[in-house]
Amino acid sequence: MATVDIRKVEKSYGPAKVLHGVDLEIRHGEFAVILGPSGCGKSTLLRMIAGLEEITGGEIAIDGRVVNRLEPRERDIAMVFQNYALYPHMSVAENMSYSLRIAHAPKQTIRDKVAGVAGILGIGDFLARKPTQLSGGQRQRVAMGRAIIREPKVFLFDEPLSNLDAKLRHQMRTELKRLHLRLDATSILVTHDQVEAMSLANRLIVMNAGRVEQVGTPGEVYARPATLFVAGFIGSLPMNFFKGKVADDGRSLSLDGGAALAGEGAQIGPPDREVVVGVRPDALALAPSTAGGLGGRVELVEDLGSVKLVHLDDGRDGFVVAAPPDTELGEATEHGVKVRAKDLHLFDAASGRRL
Amino acid sequence: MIKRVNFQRHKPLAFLLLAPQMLVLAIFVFWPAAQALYQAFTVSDPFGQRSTFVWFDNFRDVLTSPEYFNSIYRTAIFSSGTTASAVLAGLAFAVLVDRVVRGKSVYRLLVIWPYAVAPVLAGVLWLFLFHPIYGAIALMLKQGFGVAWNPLLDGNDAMLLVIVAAAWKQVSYNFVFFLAALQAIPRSLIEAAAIDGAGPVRRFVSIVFPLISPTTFFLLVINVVYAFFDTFGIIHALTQGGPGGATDILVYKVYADGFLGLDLGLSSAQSVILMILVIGLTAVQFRFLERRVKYAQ
Repeated sequence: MATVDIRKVEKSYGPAKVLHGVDLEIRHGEFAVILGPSGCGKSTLLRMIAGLEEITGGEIAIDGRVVNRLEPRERDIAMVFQNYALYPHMSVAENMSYSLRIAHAPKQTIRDKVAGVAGILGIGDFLARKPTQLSGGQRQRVAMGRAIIREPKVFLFDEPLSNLDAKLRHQMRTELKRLHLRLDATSILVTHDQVEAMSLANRLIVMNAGRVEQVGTPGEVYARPATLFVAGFIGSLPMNFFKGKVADDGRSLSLDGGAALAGEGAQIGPPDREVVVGVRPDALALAPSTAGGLGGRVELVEDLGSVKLVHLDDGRDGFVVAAPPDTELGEATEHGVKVRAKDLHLFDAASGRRL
Repeated sequence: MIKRVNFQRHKPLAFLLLAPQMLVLAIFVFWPAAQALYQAFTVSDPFGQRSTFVWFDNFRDVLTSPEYFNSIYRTAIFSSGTTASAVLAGLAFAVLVDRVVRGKSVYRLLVIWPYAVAPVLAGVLWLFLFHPIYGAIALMLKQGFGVAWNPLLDGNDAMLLVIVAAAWKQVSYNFVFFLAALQAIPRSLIEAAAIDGAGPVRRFVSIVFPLISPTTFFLLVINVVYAFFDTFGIIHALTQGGPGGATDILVYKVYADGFLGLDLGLSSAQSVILMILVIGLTAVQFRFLERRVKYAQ
């Protein structure tokens, strides 16, 4: 039962610190996805788990055993690289069996395992080919086959799908998920693609600037983003943000620019506090313009087929409403918006943390 | 898009533009080569006043002379020794420099430096180090280790010295190519092999070496040609083919018989044979060695 424990892990390159004390516990059988923008340290963290980067501070334990000083080959992990890293001079079968041959496995065992894994991945017809004779998707499968054949405790994936075109990526994503369930292994995947992250993860780890921002199921992270960064990063339509202040009674909000949002009688936040309010575009509904309410002039409309994205100019930064596709709007007309109190995400203006 | 010019309608212009290069080739390559080929079939007096066409007499003289076969034997030792040590040392240096993180450019410069030294100077340099009377290293060998080192009298010492000197110059060249080849290998391949359980030696043998094999093959061909042709200056400065013909390699013998012995016909015949030898050797390399090369495609 493989677990991965990451305790206060730090990484510096000379004076530049890229990881500031990361704590994570990944349980057996979990598909943990580390999501973050490029340069947030997510790949570095994965490579430290693999043993490809030295650990500056803290410790990493795989299955309860501290691996800080172990070579990659002693850690019982397998990794799938972004560029697949297939050995170009070896056939598909040789690529997959390389680790077994190093371990001096009997020839018959090697043949059986290669055939078995090739069967799972549907690459049995290409075993004699060289990587250059394969398509991107096929190479991806070979790279996975090379990892699977070793039956490691932990699978590490470094942006494995980002070199594939959109359609293939979707297909491989579901395949990856199916494979994970079938192998009952612990997997850690690193990506900057939130759709990929949300669809694959049992547990989503959002990282930014060398720190873990939030850990939770994709649903939790989407519903209750812990920080402003997570709120802005998660969700295919970017969240709208407004600066404002909670009223003395804690039951209403006054936004910078004059508009007010009512809490419908419920407590919506700590009284008298400077806040940033986040609202997802699909939580907003168009309504007749009202004095003192949130609203604006239609600036432009993006018709995506399933939804119309209405950009409203409120005289400040502007915001976006996801309206039903049959909405008809006049050019430059004034509209108000309605929002339910439970769809408001309040963040402390100073710290950026959820209130 | 890369601009391509089509000369279909301006053929004369195309030839005009090619003319300078063709002229240079004709004067400095084709004409001398043709001259050599012609002279190989003639006997002329030392002053070049008269010459007689003698068909294959020169070739018969060359191929029946024991000195010539000695020279072939010496060349075989010299070129294989030079090629092997230059390629291996170049590879070793490249692997070491490739591992260096800090100060890589300094090491690179230091290893490339010898290539900028002219062959004759390289020869003189090595002579100063290894001369039995005033050579610093020769002295150390004699006094420190009791080695009676004397390349001026001992044929084996002389051969060793010219091989080391010739290889020393070529190491830089090999180093540059090997380093470029090593750096072209994606890091992730090495990392994947490390995760797959391969130690450093295994990684080098099963991943790195096959991936640089096209470069190795190229360098073998180049180094053999170098040892055959471009080592004249080193031999000339160090041993002049001596002692007793121990370092009298083919290209030096061409010079010695032609310019010292003033037998231009014999010398030309040798250079023609040398050319055929090298072409043959290169063909053999392509035929038998290239099969083991793992090109990426």
